[in-house]
Amino acid sequence: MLCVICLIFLAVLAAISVASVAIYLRIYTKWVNRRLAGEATGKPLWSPLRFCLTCAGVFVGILLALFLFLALTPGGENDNPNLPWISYQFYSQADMEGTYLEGFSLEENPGYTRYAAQDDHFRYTCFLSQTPHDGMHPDFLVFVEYTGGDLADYNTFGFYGAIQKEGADDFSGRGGFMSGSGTLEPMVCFVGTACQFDGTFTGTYGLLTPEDFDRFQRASEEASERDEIVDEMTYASVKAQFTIHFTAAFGTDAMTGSEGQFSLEAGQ
Amino acid sequence: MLKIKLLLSEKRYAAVAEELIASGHVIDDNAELLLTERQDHPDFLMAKQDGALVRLGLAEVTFIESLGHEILAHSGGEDYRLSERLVRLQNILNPKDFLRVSNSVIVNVHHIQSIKPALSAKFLLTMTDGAKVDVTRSYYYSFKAFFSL
Repeated sequence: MLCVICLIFLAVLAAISVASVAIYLRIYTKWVNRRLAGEATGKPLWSPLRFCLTCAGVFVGILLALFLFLALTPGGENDNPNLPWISYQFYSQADMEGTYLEGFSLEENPGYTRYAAQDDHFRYTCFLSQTPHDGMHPDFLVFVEYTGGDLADYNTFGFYGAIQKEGADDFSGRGGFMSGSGTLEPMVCFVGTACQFDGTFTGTYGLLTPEDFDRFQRASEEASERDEIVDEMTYASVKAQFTIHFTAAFGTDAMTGSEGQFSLEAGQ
Repeated sequence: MLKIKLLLSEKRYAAVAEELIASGHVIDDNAELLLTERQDHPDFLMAKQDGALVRLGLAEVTFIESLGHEILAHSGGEDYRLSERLVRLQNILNPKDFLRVSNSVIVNVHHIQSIKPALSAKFLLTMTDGAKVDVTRSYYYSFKAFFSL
């Protein structure tokens, strides 16, 4: 906002400078011709070139002063043009090994507030940062554990995260859709960062049996003939879904604590 | 017997011409030999128009310009060809009346109708006969000094 005001100020200043030079040129022309006619006395006026260079010098001086002011003024979180933002990554249990996520516990993590929820097939454990976004630690983690039965029934999984900004009429974005197959793992994790984000993040994780996957493939082939895409998760036998509500204060110095900053809704 | 061109003020021209003719010399405006006065400035110049030699009063000359190999004096809407080079004219003409404003033009300051300054170091002069003459950068400051601009 400050930058916009400065830009407008500079534009107005440039317009004033140009207008001043044009006006001065007219004044100087009149004075020169009066001098020619012997009517003007006194000290000579500045030449138009000198006036123009002086105006340019003043303009550049103000520009430099403005630049120094902007550079030295400490910017708050609210001045960051890149905010608000939210991003996430998906980790399977194997992905977590050997990474910083190995140091996170399902019971307690210093600096985070724990939230838990349960539905018929999944247990959700969410950790929300208690400190403002620092660029080094995740702001939220959601562990999703399958508790429904024999995981060997399934051979394919899929996931995606959906972002919806508060007040936006249409859907804001969905990303990270992926799927995998083989021996599935009982726990996966959605890890993300969020700062001044006002809206919801919905994580979805689905499991498909071989039959589910066959049905998906048939449907996908039929859809491709119509140039359409089929959502794999539609064919998942079981699906984990959670939604975290963020308020704009989350991730900033104004954040007083995790309580009230978001809520966890679990289940379909 | 010498062929001499006289470049004198009007008041002295007749007397000197008479004396030289009496001495057996010829007054010829095409002559290479030139007799001038050191302190004074001529009131007229000998010029050619349509092949004829004419006496051109300097008070009516608006400006003198160099065009190619010719030196033209503009006066009363007519053009007159001069035999003197611009550099020579600059020395013999009265500096209170004539001012060089570019490499190729000397103007009669009493015939400047208006001056139009530019943002760059230049002036555009409009003469009394409507002609437009540029004061170039090389002569900008001398022009300003002349008019105390």
